[in-house]
Amino acid sequence: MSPFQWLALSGLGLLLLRELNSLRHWRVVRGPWLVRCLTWVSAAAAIVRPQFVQRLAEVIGVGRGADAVLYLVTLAFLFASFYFYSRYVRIQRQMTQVVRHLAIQEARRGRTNAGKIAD
Amino acid sequence: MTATDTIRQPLVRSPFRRQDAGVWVLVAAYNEGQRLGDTLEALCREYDNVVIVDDGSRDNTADVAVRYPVWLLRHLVNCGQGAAIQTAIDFALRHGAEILVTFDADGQHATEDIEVLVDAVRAGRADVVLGSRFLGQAAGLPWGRWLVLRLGVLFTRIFSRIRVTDTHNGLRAMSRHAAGRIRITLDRMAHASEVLDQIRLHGLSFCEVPVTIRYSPATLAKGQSSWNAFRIVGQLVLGRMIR
Repeated sequence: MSPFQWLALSGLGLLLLRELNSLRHWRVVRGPWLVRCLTWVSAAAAIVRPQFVQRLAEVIGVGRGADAVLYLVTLAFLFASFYFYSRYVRIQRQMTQVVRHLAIQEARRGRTNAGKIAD
Repeated sequence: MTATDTIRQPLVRSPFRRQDAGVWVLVAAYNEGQRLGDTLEALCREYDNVVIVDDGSRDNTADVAVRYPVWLLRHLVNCGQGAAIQTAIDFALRHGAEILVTFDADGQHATEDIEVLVDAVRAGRADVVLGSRFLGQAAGLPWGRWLVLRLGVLFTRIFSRIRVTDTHNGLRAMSRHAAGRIRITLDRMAHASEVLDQIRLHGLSFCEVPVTIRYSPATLAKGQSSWNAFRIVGQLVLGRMIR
């Protein structure tokens, strides 16, 4: 194996260990946890045996393995962008609710006797 | 004459002012210290219940507002016009408002138009009465803005499936019932389209009345750029997908 493969596999191994450790402490949401684990395992498999990616590309009709990876990364990027944007919007809405609550609580009346404004 | 100069004069109530305590005029203001005084001067002559939501302004908007007999609410940070209007609606409903009118802070709207909108709601013509500059007058409207607004109308008719002649007019009146049903979740400029969406969604009745909008170099300079139309469309589409 090349130095890159060793390095990448070490990083992915650590990530997988972290995921397994979080499972031990029951701190996981099952769906996202499974997606993360599958991503790390798939990436490790593609690094150890690049021909897997080539075979996958042929199966789905893309042609080259590098193209298949590019398409998958593009789709993942779009999905991640939407996911984080929706998280941002939800947090923004929560912040607005807090700001609104405070604004209503601290509402004050302006001068009711407008004739004394010039004082 | 500046806003500060304006308020040095005692506020003379109009002899024909409307005494209807159920009518609440809601104004969202962001960095409007220069123009807000004139707007409030005109509103306070006619209406007892005026709510200003200072949406995290960095200028003296709040200082100007508090010199008038209005309710002043302050957002600690800038949340957007949609958020500010919803804050004003919540506040007015809690205080027993029967008819709620949204009105721009920058002086583009004519105070006299409010009466027409309120009368339509009071007469039961509709739950929501929308002002339309294209049925009335839009003095000084640049052709570029005219085109964008017309495209906005077309987009709204397709996307929101509601037949209106003006989509982003800030002058509108609604009954208490309608204000309680409509919930603005798009904090920024796309809220105007969201209101139209919700009118259809909740099956509220609506009508349009002619109003006058006066554009000036100052309001055009501060107002949203025509390119913001793309951002509004993006916010609206994504806003529908995120609940």
